[in-house]
Formats: sequence, C-alpha cells, structure tokens
Amino acid sequence: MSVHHHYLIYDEHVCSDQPLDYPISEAADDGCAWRLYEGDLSVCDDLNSWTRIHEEFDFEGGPCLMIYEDQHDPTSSLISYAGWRALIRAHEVIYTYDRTASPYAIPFAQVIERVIAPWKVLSQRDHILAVHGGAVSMSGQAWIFIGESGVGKSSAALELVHKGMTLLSDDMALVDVEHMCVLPGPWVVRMWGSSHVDGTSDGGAVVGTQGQKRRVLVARVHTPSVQVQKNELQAIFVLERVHEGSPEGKFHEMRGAKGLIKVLGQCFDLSHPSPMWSRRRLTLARRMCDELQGISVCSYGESPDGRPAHVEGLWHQITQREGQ
Amino acid sequence: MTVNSPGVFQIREDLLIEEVDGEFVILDMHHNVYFGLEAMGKLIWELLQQEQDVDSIVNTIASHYGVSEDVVRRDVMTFIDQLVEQGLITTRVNRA
Repeated sequence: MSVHHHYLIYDEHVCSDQPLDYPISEAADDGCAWRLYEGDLSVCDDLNSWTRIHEEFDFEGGPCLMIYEDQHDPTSSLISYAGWRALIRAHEVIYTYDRTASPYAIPFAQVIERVIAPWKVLSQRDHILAVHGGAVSMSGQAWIFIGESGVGKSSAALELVHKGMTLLSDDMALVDVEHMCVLPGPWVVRMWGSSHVDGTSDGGAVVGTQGQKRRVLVARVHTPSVQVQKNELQAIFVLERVHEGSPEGKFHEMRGAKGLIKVLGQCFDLSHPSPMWSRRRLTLARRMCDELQGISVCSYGESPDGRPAHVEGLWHQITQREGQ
Repeated sequence: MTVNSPGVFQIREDLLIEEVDGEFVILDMHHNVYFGLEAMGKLIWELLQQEQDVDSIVNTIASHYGVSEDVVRRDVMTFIDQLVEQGLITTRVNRA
C-alpha cells in the first residue's frame, strides 16, 4: 500500500496507515485512534476460537461480509469481505488481501470507509447506535428512514439522492448520539420490486440482480484521506405502507414510549448482544429520541404507477424543516 | 396461561425499565425484546411491584378511574395474562 489511508471522524483521526503527527497512545486511550497496516493474518486461519456473529451477502453470489468475534477477547474481531480480511484489535487493524478469493475487486479505501471503519467505530465506541435504515445528508444535515424490510427505505433514499442529497447508508445508519451526527455506513442501495431506477445519480453502475431485487452502487469520490463530515441528525422518519393510504403519504409525530420502541425495534444488536449493550442501546436510543423530540411517521399507500410518490412528501418535510 | 388466582406476582429481576413521558419502556435483556406500557399499564405494573394481588389492584384502579370493579377486573386480568405470557412476571404462591 503506497497510498496513505486516513480515516477521520469530523476533525479527529481514528485510523491511519502512516505515523500520525501526535502521540497515538494519548489518542488511543479513549479509543479514538488506531493504527492500520498490512500484515500476516495466518494466525486467524483457524476459526475454531472465533464465533461468527454476522454473515450477509450483498446479493446472491456477491461479496459476503462476515464478522467473527474472538471467544477469548471480545475486543477483537475479524472481518472478511470480498477478498479482504481485517483483524480488529483495540488500537490496531491488521489487514490482508487475497485477490483470488473473490471475483469482486473492491478498492481498499471503500472497504475501510464503509466496512472496517464503521465496524471498528461501532464495536469499540460506546456512543454509537446502529440503526436499521437508510440515511441521507445535505448541507451537513442528515435524515434517517426506518421501517420494516421492503417498506421503501432504499427507494426513498435513492429518490432523495436524485434530488441532490448524499447517501450516507442504505441499510445501516450509524448515529453518533453524543454529537447527534450520522456516520456513513454500508454504501449499497438495494431495490425491491419493479424499480424504475436503472442507474445511479453520480456514475455508479448496476452490478447485479437477485430476482426482482436490484443492487445499485452509488459512486463516491475516493481520496487517500477519508474524512467523515459532521452530518447532524435532523429527524427520523418511520415509513409505513398502509392499505388504501394516500400515495403522497400522511405525516404525524410519534413521541414518548411508542416512538422509542419504534426506534429500538430497528436498532441492530449484532455488535451489542450482551445485557450491558442492551442497556446501552436503550440509553442511547432514549437520548436520541429525546434530542429529536420524537420521530415522524410517514404512512403511505401504493401509487398507481408504483413510483414512490411519498418521497415528495418526505422532501417537503425535509426542506420545510431545513427552512425553519 | 390464564391468571385466575388471587396470588401475587413476581416481576423478573433482570428487566430494565425506563420511564418516558409517563409511560414505561421495558427491556427484556434476556430475549432482547422491548415492551411499552401506557399510563394504565404503568400503574398496574407499579402495583405489581408493590406485591399487590389482583383484588387489590382491581380495587385501586377502580377507585383511581371511578369505574366499576367488574369492568376493571376484566382488563386487569387480560393485561396480567399478557405479562405472564411474555414471561415478564411469574405467579407466586398465594398469601396465607
């Protein structure tokens, strides 16, 4: 690797494959900095001492993200994705690449930005909440869409990308509850049903299909240094498809226990299976809902042409709030 | 399971309870499931925490809301049945 890879959250280094200009030990004390380097991972070949806690294919036959946790050291985890393997420890990430292991050549910067770094941050920072939902941003502000699978989160996100917003994540939105900001998550947009989308907004390509499910990559600008900008969370929208509802959608606020339970029901627990993490997840979700003063529910019905007409309503809600 | 005894109930000790705007969110950490209790459910839960039996709970609720005990009893029993079914509380031996 000749290119410097830095990963920054806001103005703060969290990883680098080059020496940092300040003592890493100081920064590492609170888990905010870690060293990234290529190394030998043959010690991890024997998976007997690892527990697989996550396995998901991007699409049938596509790259598979697998995450293992060390049975003896829960602070260590092993990631395998598209020929990349990364051993994640408290203050370092050691990676290898086997180009023969996967037909999908995914650049290292992308793997850092959207797989390794989010996982590292999620698993080792105690104020990050992983929400099952899409997230978009615009002008330093972010919005999250949650809802049951197939409700139209990806469609909504992609439509909003077409309107000029930036996709932060499709399926997993990472919320830094301390700063009330949304970090980028996995970059894949998955489409269900007879999608009318046949490309991407900024140069990505359709890379595969699974039945009626279409996978679209939204291209991003890749630079040697990956800096996560602050995207302050403005609102969480719960998408609900209702029988004979208005295709444009109707909106209402949901506060209190109902809103909190809606959010908790859409929080990932893959990194937080223990009671301690359950407690933390509840605390973080509570704090997030309190900060937002509730969540917004968008109930909508099927539109005659199958297009996500409720996105106009979402767009209106977003721009209206932004103007306030 | 249907609750038909006048016994008291034991609330599981490993539940995490958060009060949100006068309602309860209960986290079952063992099964990673969340439950919401609205104002009435919250009141019944608090009475269960005080180890009150069904008759006492019905009496308190009926007085609090000014509703007949017959009506209240049906709702309270249904609610407690649900709590037992979800494993949040267990029946305990009747008071002597």
